Amino acid sequence: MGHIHILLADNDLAFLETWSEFLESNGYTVHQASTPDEARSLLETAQIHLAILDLRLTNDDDDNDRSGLIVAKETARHIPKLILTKFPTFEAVRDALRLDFETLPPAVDFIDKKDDLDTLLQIIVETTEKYIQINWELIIRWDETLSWFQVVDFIESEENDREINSREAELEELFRRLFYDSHQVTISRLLARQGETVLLAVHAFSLEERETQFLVLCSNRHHIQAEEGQYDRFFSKVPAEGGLHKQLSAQTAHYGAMAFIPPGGQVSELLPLTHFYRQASTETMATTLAYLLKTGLAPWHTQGQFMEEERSFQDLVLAWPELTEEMLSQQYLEAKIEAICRQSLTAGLARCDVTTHTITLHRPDSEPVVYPNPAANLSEIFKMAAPPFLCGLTHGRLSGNTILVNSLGQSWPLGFSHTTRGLLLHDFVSLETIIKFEIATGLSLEARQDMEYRLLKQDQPAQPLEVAESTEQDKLSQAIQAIRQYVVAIIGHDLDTYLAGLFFRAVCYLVMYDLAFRYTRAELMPYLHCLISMAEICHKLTTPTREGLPQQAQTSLWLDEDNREVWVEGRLVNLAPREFEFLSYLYQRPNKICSRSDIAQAVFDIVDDPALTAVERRRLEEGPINSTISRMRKKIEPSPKRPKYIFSVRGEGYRLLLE
Amino acid sequence: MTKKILAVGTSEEAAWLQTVSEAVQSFGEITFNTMETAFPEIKTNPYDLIIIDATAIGDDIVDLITQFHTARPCTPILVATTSPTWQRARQAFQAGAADYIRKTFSQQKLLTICRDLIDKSSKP
Repeated sequence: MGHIHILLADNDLAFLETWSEFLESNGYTVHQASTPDEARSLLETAQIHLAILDLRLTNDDDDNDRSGLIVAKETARHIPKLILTKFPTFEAVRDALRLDFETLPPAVDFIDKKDDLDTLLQIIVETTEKYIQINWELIIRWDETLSWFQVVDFIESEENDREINSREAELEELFRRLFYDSHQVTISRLLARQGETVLLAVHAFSLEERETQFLVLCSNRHHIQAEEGQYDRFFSKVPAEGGLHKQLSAQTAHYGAMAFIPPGGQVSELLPLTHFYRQASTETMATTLAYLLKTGLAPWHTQGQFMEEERSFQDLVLAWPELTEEMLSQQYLEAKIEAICRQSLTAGLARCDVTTHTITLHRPDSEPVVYPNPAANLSEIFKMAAPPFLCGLTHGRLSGNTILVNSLGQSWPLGFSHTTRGLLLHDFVSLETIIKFEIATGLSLEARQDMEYRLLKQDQPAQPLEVAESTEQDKLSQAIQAIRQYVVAIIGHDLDTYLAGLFFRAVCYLVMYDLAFRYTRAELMPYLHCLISMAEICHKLTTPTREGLPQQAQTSLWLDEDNREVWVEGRLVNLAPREFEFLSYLYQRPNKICSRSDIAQAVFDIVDDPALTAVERRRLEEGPINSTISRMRKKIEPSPKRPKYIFSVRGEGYRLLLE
Repeated sequence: MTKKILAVGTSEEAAWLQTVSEAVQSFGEITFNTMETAFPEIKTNPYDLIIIDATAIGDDIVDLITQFHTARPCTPILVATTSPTWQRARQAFQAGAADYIRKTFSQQKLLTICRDLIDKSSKP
């Protein structure tokens, strides 16, 4: 039998002492309060199971004093309370015991102080049996790698060790409340952590040895209250296969927990999306994402959909929980960008030269690339998206750790506290951002840069992407493709709005970079990728369409020597200086074969040295020519593996084909 | 949607129950039953609200509330009386009543109380 902790609040100190002694002699632990503030504080901070509050907690002579009842109404409504008074009235009883339907009434019983102590004791025993359901006999087993201490440490990251020790008992009590009807629980696995929330796999056994597997979401009480409130408000309309259904919930002074049963009932095979991605094949990953969108998220998205005609894109984006107005200021973003670039240099990832309007990315093995600085283009990007916007119920805070996947690739989101009505786009761009920056690892900077460039070459969101060069790159590309295909089906082919959404979701990621920290290369890589992604989107969305462009620029390839611009099928292409020189050389000799040696001399200043053999000379030319051609094709050709403009002529050189 | 309300009392108190009927007519359809016929009625038909005239029922009020609450735990029970005492109020709430009021409440207040009880009890 565990200890029941009782808060006894009365401004009559003699009464307080007498009754405290009586309760303690009957095995209860008593916390005393003699004022409303003291009572409030203890209810919010101490581990209280039952509160007994004097009605006139401030002034016994004031007929209007109901301060004890006010404390009961306003504080810790999940704790059952008894109102104690020498002056019971019908009105006070009604006020205290009237049903609330959403939580306990302010009080669950009303006691006349003139009653004897045994009557009080009897009421306390009945109240604890009815309202304080803690299974003190529950057998709790742990996986050997986990403990109460660890879980408390995850949830209460800022508490010191002494406080963590005292919270372990409270966390244990939480589970004894949550699994009140079980005989034994085994906490087998820490599935995921997200901020101050942990997700545990728990196997519960009844007395008849029947096993039920649960996912238990555990965090501080306020967070779980918000989660449960949103869940109860919105989840009732989600069909059974569409999500993880809540079965149990419990709260203590500081903690809360919700227990879910997944469709299929098997928790042991569930993985967070972050882990699942690493082991899944390209096809499985694409299928899993499609399932998540159509079955896990669609039931939410279809609740109360509407077209927002009045509010601007900026207003809707500012409603995202991850963003504040400060984060969308040029100065704020500039500071983050400069810090990321500085650290990228010291980490040997890349050199980035930052000006107010540009970022030039230098990599050891290629030509520098000039991007627009995203920080200077925020207002321009906002203008890219115009109403009406498809809005509805969104998850609001998707993450790789709270999307769960089973062995069949079926997946569902958890974490409902940020569910809100807003841009549906938010969930889609969040998913793409999670995959690119949080989940996909093992890609080089070059591969990420290349992927962003290919994604931005699309004219429509779901345009097929060519097969990437590596399996990892292909998996990422196909995953993004699966998301974008679904997006097109839901919100149409408006690429500009999608890209604008993607841009600001990337801002949400970028602003998480902490200027006070030093990051490893692996940690820094996604931030640099994020920056490149934002810059590429800027380039795509903010490059103005020049008036008076010739037809050739719209339908073919056109090079403007005066402005040093290259247009391919209506798209302005960003070429590095050497690339431009190479293309210009070919452009001045359209449809003619240009020899390697001529190109080497004219573009790369590789002078014919009679001392070199033909093989040696060829080797000298090949490196720069081949690498530049490869980069040019990626930028210019709609499909680099099937060139349309730049052709190799075996044994001779290259030809630019212009019709 | 019209709410279904069951009023339980005797014919001697019909005047008060008529007051209730007038108060809720804007959103509810009220059915009158005696103490004897109310329980079979509740078991057979669901209601959005049960109003009990405690003055008419007398000492059996707690048992009646317990019976109704057991049969229909999600249906709010409103108890009205001419002579409320704190002990009776406590007993009514302990038996499962959602609210306990004086009969002298105005029609407007009665309407507000009935609406609140129905609205809150019907939330998912």
